[in-house]
Amino acid sequence: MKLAFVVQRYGLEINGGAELHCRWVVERMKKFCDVEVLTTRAFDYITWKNHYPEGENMVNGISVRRFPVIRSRDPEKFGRIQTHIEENEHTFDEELKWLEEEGPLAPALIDYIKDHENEYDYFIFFSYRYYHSYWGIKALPHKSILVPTAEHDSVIHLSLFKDLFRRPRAFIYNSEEEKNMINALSQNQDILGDVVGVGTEIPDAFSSDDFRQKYGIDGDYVIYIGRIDENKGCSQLFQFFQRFKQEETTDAKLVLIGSSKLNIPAHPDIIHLGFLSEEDKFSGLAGALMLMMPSFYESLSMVTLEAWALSKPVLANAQCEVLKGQCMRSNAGLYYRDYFEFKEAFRLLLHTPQLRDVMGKNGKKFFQQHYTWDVIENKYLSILDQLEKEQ
Amino acid sequence: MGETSNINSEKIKIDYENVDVEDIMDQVRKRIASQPRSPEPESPVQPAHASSLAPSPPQPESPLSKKAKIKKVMLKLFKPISPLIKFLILPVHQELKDTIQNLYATNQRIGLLERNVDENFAHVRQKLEEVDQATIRRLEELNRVREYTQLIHNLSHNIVVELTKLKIEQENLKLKTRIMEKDFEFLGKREKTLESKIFG
Repeated sequence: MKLAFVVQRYGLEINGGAELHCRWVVERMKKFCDVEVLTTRAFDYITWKNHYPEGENMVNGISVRRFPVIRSRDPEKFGRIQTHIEENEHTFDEELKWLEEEGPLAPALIDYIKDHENEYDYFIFFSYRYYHSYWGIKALPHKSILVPTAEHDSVIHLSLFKDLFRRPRAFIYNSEEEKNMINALSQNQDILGDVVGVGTEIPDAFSSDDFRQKYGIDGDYVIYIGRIDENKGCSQLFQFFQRFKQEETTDAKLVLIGSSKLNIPAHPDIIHLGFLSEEDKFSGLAGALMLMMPSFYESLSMVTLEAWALSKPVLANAQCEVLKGQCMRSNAGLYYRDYFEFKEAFRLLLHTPQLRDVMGKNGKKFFQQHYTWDVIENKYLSILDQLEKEQ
Repeated sequence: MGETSNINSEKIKIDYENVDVEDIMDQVRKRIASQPRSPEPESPVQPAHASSLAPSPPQPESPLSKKAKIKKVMLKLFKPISPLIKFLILPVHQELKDTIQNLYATNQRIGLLERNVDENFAHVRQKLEEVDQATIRRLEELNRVREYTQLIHNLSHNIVVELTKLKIEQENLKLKTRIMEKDFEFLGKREKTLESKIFG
């Protein structure tokens, strides 16, 4: 069986989101099938500017075909179109125009899919909201599998996606909440689909002591890992943490790992370390009391799974249904909707080591049951098997 | 089994053998609901305000000092608005301020939405008019198409009639040809007979 994984960007330098998710799955599925990646030359997810060389090359032993982006995205123009379609009555053609602006605009990729249909058994598309998924699935719905990686954002309600969600042969969802949301939007319950998600890759060696020594961190700390961004709920986290420190007596620090897109408050207990290597990231996580996950929108938080893999509890934003649902199913994290809930839940976790310990164990158990690579691989194989039987 | 976590003298019951996050969060919410919210750090001014609003202490036997007199006058002056002052210094004031701010933001948003609705209504009405005009144009086109169809139908009918006539004419001509062939054949035979009689 030959599978083509179609994704907006692909490369070792891309260290998060659906692209990393896709790379990990591709590298795992290589054991079972002949796999190839079809993608664009883009690296920057804002402009989609061509960066990688065109044509076929190898990335970690995987054959990758890259197609050029014929027009870079103009963020200002895209912002205007997005605001228009979000706030006004609009036509289907305007939605298609939005999709074209959303990009990455690589028609050669779609042409390749159409022309080489017979060379592949299935095309697995990652991320519903981009040009490649919409036109790729439209071109070959009978060979398409969609990994939507959908969040509860406004564009999911566009009529073009309602139609898209009824086309593929199968779906691979990241969470129950994502599945329910897409089912409710498009009434596509009759299409084969399973909640699979993604595993994680934990480095062989990491040490919390080395981390403390390297970055000069003493005492208890909680950790946030990821892009430091307004959309990720970081501003709210800073506000809540600072207020908590004013109202409560605690020495706990907030350690931030990741590149920042907003101003981090100058507070002695908020420590920003920037972007770190995987080893340092896991070392930091291993030494933390808990992971803070303030994001409003997630289809599957990989860092939350990593925290559970290391037996760390999570304090999550309940406004993200996926995070709340995962905390409830795993019994491995608390959640908050406002400052008062944040304060109580944070205080409870901070001052109750036994609860942190039990929740950490629950998290590890949940991770092992649902997110180890064996489980993920078997779910992918099961879906492919069911599709083969249907034929 | 069920153990309790004692934080700030409030108890949250946790069964550590079977931790239930939903249950913990329910308890947390109940606990929040039962507490008076204190969104701002406690102000050191508060006790001073409270004491100034407290009932006047029993006066000493000695004559009132000037300061005490002023205080008495002030207390009398502020008595009508003392509930408001008490209300303002309570933590609920911050809640009220937040709520008013939220309501103001909501109001702004509703205002914006109303304007959008008005704009959209005008837009929809304009679109409906456009659709109406387009429908009229389409109807006119349809009428024209119907007339064309009628003409084509008549034309076809006439063509059929003409073709029938031509067919009949063709049959007549064929018949005439056959008669002429017979006549020609007869004349040929007669010619041969006459030739044999003349030259034979």
